[in-house]
Amino acid sequence: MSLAIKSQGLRMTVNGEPVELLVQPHETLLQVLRERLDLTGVKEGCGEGACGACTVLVDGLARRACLTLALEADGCSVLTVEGLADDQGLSIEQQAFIEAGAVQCGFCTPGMLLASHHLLEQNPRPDEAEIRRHLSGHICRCTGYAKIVEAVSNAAARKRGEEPS
Amino acid sequence: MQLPPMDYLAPADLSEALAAKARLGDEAVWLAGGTDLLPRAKQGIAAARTVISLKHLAPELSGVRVQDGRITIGALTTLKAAGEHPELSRRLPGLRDALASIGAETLQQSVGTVGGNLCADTRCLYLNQSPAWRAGLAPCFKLGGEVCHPGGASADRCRSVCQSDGAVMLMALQAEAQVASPQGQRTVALDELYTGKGETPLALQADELLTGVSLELGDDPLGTAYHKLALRGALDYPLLSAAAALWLRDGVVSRVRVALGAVYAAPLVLIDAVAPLVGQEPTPERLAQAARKAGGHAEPFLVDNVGADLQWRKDMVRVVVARALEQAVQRAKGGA
Repeated sequence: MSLAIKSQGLRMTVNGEPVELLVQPHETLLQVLRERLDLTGVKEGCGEGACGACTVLVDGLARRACLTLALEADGCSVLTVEGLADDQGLSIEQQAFIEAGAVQCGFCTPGMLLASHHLLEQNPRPDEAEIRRHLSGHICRCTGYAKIVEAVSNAAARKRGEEPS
Repeated sequence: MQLPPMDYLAPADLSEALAAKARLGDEAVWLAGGTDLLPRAKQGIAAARTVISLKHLAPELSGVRVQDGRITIGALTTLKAAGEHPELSRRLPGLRDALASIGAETLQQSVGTVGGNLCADTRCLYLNQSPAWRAGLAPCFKLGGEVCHPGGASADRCRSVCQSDGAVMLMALQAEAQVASPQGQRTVALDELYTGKGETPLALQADELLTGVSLELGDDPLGTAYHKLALRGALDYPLLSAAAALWLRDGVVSRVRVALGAVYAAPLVLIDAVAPLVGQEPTPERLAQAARKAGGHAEPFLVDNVGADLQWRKDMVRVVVARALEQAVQRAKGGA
């Protein structure tokens, strides 16, 4: 049955760079990003959508890369954790995570950062309940979440040009 | 985790999609957000030789419309867009709550869809597992075998359950599904859409696509409520849930529907338990009486198949039904 299945062309913009490659229909966005484009910041945790570690932004919205066929992202703009930093250094969210001690083993961090970035793009002044709700699909087995919530709150303040309280 | 090899089509519009499905029949499955299909495909329990992506149909099949006392939701409306639609959320807070309880925030905006939730397959602790986990057990009825592991030796059919939050609330609201095929459109009541058979839970033909769902709000003040018990506040399917839709006229119940989730292969509608409420004032005693009856009526349907203590689930039917009814009454009276 697999003999008849052909690779298909995939074009997308990844972290601002245009990308064009042939993929098998059953390749997930996670596999393409990690194994074909060497973007290993995208982590595979559970592989079934329950942990959030593989979260990337596709056209500005959060998606589980492990539950997204790569071909579903054809024509889309994809942002991974590698695309958060720029020439000037780490993003405000990344810096806030470091300063708050929100990173321990680091495996959930790329997904947490992209979910946080996504939240702050939509809501520059989230309260603690909104931060917790937005990150509720992201599992961290080290920190107990308090430092992560604090980091997002601090990043929100910095993005508004205020000093974190 | 790897997906098995599959072919992929992304038709440009509804008619092209329906033609492709008609050609491929059961060989092909629809792909909306993928949060139900892809985990099952990875586990080897979804037959997905070809997936037909609906991504280009989103403009055609998305949106919430309120007109002439009727609410219509396009199948590809995301859970977030539906739940946060101002008119829907004001008139149907129970549906808003049910949709908001699905998955998690970062799954709601771009992937999870209302239609996908309605068509989510039934689930069982012994089924939704990796092939390695299942290798130690004989194939069950759902996988073409002759046994139901939680059902025990006397079970003669699949006892997997409907854990779709949206389906349970929409069933209580007596919603209808719009279904398209190359032959045209048809409307089917959710009561008919769900077969109650775990092996084949949806009464859709191989060439059909669920394109939307709609319901009548009714003339009397309506209260809706959804109560769900799950292990965590996010990312979890219900261990048990209850949805109530209740209409009041002059302080008296004019109509009431209650449905349970995670009990049966379809949302389980409780008819006899709540019928005595009609024509009566919904006093706390009458609501408690209905909830007690609901617990008794649901008990024979429950088996130990979702990973929570069976006796606890049996005991909690009364509790979730009471909570849903009480909140529906409050909302019908104009409370939050």
